[in-house]
Amino acid sequence: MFTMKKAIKIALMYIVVAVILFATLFPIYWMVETSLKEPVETFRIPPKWIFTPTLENYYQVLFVSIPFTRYLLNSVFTATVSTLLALLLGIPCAYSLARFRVGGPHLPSWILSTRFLPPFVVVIPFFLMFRDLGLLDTRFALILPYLTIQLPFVVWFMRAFIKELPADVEEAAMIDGCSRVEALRRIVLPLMKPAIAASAVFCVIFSWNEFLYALILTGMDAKTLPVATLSFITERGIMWGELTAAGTMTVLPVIVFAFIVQKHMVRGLTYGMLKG
Amino acid sequence: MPKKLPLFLVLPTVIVLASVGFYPLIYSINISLYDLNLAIAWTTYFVGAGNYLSLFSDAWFIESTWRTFIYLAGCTTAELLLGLGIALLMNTEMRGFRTFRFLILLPMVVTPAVAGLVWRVLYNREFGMLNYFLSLFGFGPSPWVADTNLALPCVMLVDIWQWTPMMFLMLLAGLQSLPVEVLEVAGVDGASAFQKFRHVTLPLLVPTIVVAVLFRVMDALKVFDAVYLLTGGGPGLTTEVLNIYAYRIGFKFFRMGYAGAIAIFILIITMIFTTVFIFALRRSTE
Repeated sequence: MFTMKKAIKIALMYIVVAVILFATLFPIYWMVETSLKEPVETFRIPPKWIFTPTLENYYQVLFVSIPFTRYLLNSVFTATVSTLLALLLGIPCAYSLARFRVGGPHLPSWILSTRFLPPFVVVIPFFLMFRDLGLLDTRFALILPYLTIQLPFVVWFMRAFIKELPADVEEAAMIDGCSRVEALRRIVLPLMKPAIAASAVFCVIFSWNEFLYALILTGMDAKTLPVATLSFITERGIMWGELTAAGTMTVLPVIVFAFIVQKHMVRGLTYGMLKG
Repeated sequence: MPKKLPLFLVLPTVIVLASVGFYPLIYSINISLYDLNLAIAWTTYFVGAGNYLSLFSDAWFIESTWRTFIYLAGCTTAELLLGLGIALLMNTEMRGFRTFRFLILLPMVVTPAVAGLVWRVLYNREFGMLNYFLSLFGFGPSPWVADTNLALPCVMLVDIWQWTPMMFLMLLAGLQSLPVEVLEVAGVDGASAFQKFRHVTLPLLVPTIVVAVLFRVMDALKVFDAVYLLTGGGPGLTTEVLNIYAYRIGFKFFRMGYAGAIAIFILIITMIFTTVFIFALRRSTE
């Protein structure tokens, strides 16, 4: 009787989990499925669950309807440059905060505070300044605004990590005759590699997914992928096949990245990285 | 070691953040005191608190503020309850749960703009899957986002779909860091599962809940992407939250001064929420 009860309980749990997974994954599944259908099949109700997939929509998006490659390169450029800058500036700062406590307890919270600025407080001034400087719709337009989010994140993420590294390691190396800079390069930096990689991935995900700043500060030339998806909402209607194909190609790299940083997700979230 | 090294390492970050964060803040405060309309270049003149006073008599603004609060309260409550439920369910080791935990996280890495578009496809009246599923159970088609009464809940559902995983993940991490001994002692005392949850687990979890809710509230105050692509603020203005309104004022009507005042208003709300939550956090950890 007892085992029977337990078996029912376990079965119930799996049913609930299945329902949750269905609700979670169906929208993503449906996007991918729609992108692989012929335009005629897209509107068939009841839907055809088994069909011959076609890459027609992907071909249209990549080579015919929009300059997809350019927008892809824009996204890659913005993500790479802003992430590198954030790491280059943020890691030394994080080290200094963790080891020497520069600026006392207030400096870290001051650094974090810029990422809580409402988006319009940041974007209106950048729009007006870039308009005067002729920087609107260039590939550089997004890098500075993105740093307001990425840089505080890198500092906090890396600071927490460095604090957990025992300081003895560096000190031992320094007693052995290394200078601090040498000890950093040869001992601390290799230990920090996984954390640096994780924070880089979070920065890339943020830059890749950001929409509002890109919508306002870029146009025909420099727009990134999330803004480019707007091209498929036209006067004549929504191009569903191409829209979902572009959406799938935008989301796919992020899912791969998420898989890589799975383990660090909680800490990443604590510093609020996934959403600008 | 050079004496100035620690300072030297911090300085670049401080300078960059001062110029990309705090300079824009001062710039925004400054323009919010002007009547600055890019569509009519010659109307730039100082109005002092004029823009802020206009906010109070602006029906669109007041309505979008209320809508933002409804959005924020509704989404956060739903996400907290669902997230807590799923976290409690998943806080056991069973076959396949590791994979499930990863799969459940996927919505939150989906580009929010794309999430808005995907749900636009699902909500479609004629060809959307939601109406198809309803029809299987014998219900007639619903207009979903095209209906003025349903539009706001529909937009909120997208937020709940995308961000419940985040609430779940933070609460699960909180649950897993609870001291095991306390929970075991309660079990020995013969407390029922519910009593144990109500009197032991929940009180210990409060600090985690406060932090998780604060993060969700901050994000909900920033919401723009998914709403913009799902409804654009319509039908009528039924889904126009504060950021969509600020966008319309600033980048459709080009009234930069007034948009600046709205942005500063959002900043003040953000600061009030943060203060309240920090206060709550202090009390809950005492």
